[in-house]
Amino acid sequence: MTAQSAATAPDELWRLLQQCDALRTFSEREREALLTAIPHEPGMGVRRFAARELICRKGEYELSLCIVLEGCAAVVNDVDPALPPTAIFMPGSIFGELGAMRGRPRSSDVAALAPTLVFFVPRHALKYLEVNEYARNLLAERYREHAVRAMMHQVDLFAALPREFIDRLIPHCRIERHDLRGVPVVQQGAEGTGFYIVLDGFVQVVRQRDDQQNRVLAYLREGECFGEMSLLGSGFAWASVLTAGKCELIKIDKDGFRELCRDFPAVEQRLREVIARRQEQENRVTAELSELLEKSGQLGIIQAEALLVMDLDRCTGCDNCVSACESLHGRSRLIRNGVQIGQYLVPAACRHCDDPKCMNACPTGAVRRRAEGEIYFDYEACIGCGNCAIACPFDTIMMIDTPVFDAAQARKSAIMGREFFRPPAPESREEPVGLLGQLLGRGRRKPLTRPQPAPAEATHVPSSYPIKCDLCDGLPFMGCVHSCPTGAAMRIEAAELFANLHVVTSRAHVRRVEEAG
Amino acid sequence: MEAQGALGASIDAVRRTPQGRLSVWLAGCLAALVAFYLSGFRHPPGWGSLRTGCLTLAVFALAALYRVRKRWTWWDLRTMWFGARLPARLGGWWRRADRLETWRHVHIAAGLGVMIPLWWHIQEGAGASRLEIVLLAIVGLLLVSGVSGVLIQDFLPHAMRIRPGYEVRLEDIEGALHDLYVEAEEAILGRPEAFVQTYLRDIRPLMLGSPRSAALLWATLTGSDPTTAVTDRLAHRQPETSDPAAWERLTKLVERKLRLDHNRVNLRLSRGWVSAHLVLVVLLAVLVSFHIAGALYFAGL
Ligand code: HEM
Ligand code: SF4
Ligand code: SF4
Repeated sequence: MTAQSAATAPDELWRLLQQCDALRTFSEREREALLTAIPHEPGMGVRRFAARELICRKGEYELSLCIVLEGCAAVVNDVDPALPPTAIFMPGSIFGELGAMRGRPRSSDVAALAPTLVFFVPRHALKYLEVNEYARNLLAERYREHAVRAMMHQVDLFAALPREFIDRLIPHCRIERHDLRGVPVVQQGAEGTGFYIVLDGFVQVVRQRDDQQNRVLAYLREGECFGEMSLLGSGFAWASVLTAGKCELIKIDKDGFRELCRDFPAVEQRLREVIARRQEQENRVTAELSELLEKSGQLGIIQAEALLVMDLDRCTGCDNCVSACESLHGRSRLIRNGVQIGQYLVPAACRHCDDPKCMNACPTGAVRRRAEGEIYFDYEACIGCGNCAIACPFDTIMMIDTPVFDAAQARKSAIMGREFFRPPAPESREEPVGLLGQLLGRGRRKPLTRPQPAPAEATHVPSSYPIKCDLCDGLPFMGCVHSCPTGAAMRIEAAELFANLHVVTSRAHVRRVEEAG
Repeated sequence: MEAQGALGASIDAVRRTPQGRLSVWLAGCLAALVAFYLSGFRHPPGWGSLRTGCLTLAVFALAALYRVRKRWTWWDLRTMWFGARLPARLGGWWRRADRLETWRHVHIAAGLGVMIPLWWHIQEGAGASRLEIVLLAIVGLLLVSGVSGVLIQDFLPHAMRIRPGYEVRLEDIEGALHDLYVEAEEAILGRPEAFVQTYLRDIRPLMLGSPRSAALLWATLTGSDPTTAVTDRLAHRQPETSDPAAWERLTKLVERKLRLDHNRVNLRLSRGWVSAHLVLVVLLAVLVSFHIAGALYFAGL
């Protein structure tokens, strides 16, 4: 994207923003708060796009709400951009609410059809819109509609549903949000009230057996559904479903579900297959496995996108992984101690959570997520407040002094020979040196590949920066895994770890469906 | 342990490196070495002491390079710097080849492989002086220490793990022992005098003392549990008036303390043998330089 920031006078900007329904009822104070926040909130402001330029790319974690101010944008087909656009955004239209309100990656490519001005409101700055009740409700309503549509599009179970039917189904849908773990969504034995699709996060399926023992049968994630057993079977829930952390669900009421099954028998057929599979799972889950699943869910292991796992049957305790981490990043971001699951140790290192608390706690949007799922810091937006370190439930973020941090970043830049990492304060910059100099370790950096902040902007240098495992972001290897002599340390996705137990599906499954959609 | 097995299978499927157990690799290398020796294959006829000596030195250096890769980040960063500049596929191959796990396998192959040029070198030589005999003894000891190291590294982690409640890090053990002692002292507060006296006589010395390392090492080697004898003895010493649950709890604390001591000995062994290996390497380096200096002085090039 070669978009340019466009400086627009506040009055002119407000006039353009007024085209958007959500901002029409703003009071004078709300207007002032919004306009004065623009220069201070990283990522908030107006950007200009040339015709045919991409405004957002499918799969990217660019978590901003976009309001079209001038020109025109459209959802384009990411495989064949020559195909006609599926939705057009005229001045005043909003898009990108899934990313901004849920932290999900962009669900489609949006490109400018003509020279277009777009106002970006990043996720952390949504508060300036949501202070207004009308705007809040309107965004929530749009979000519901868009979320249901996107989910129906992504889940292959519903792939055959025509657009008109989804339009009819939307009024039967409700979004349920839960922030805590262990909240019962469905109670075993209770009468079924609806059919649920997991929109975000995880839920845990627990069944109380005839011998009164509870067994955790599975975890369901984004794109998976539950509640069908009670609606298609006895009318009562066969198992309980509890939240496994913060999650969002789409609930389709009984009438909507009946309509769905009546008009699309193939969907009902598929759901009956799902029921049969789940009932089989009950026989497969032993008490030991159930305990393991419960523990893994509590410790955030199930929800992890990339776990560092150490095979204790191989680990000789040499601590080379820890020293490698320290030499690369200034301080080891890995403590070789943590949770043991049988012969495997899950050390205290960032899990790249599905629902990252650190990301939600950052006031400047400096905690970000890549399309591959890893959570990383955008150090240029970081103000060193330490909120993320407090918010992480697994205590994996630490704040380190700026000089130590700078030295480590410079070292990494030198290996990669490019200014990939946060540029240090201007005075510590060194002249680029030749190949031999770099090989001898003297070379600090080559010319920047992206614009540097002007010295005036770079005056605030925090006294400390947060570091945590970011899977050695930007380096071609992961220090700990690469430097383990015994092959004990490895990175693995939770779904891969539990693959043979059929208790949680892979995120890749959701992505594949997304791509097919 | 069905669930554990399933997790293990998933991890094996994801493990990117094909290498298996180090001892299997060692056995393979040893077999290759023996086969080579039996085949009677000799170096090219023109190679005299100098060439075979240089080759031996080069293989020694290759083995010693492992330390450079393992402990010197500078080296690793430079190899990565180079890897980052290679075309993507080649870079990926380079990175895999540079994994420390691969280096360790190469190290063992080189450590054993050095015997071939050494054998040729000895055959070319004109009899051995005292220095050369000591040198050969050191090489032999290095080989023995290497082989024992492989066995220690391969089997010790498993031996440690099968005992419950052990610490993963050596540095955590001291703190854990201290916590156990505090817990034991708190457990006797408010107990009858007879109970406290028995505690002071039978349990506190165990909580404060350290069992003999040799006994713990023996337990590791034989796979026996070093705590059973002590806990059986304590079961007989239970004071008459006591509350059995409290005594049971103290016995459990002693058991855990002994397990931690055992764990500490194992962890020290797991790291400590490398020091012995390293001392031999340093001795070897010194003697080799004397040997080379002597050869150059007396025989010239
Ligand atoms: C040719 C002579 C040899 C030299 C110069 C040599 C040198 C070294 C050095 C410098 C280390 C690194 C110690 C550290 O810092 O961690 C090492 C480790 C090791 N060596 Fe050798 N060694 C030799 C032969 C052998 C042989 C013959 C074996 C096995 C049969 C062996 C097995 C090992 C093992 C298992 C390690 C520890 C690997 C690890 O986990 O990091 N070495 N050796
Ligand atoms: S820092 Fe903590 S909250 Fe953030 S992704 Fe990592 S483990 Fe999760
Ligand atoms: S480098 Fe490997 S063997 Fe050494 S402590 Fe770390 S995980 Fe264990």
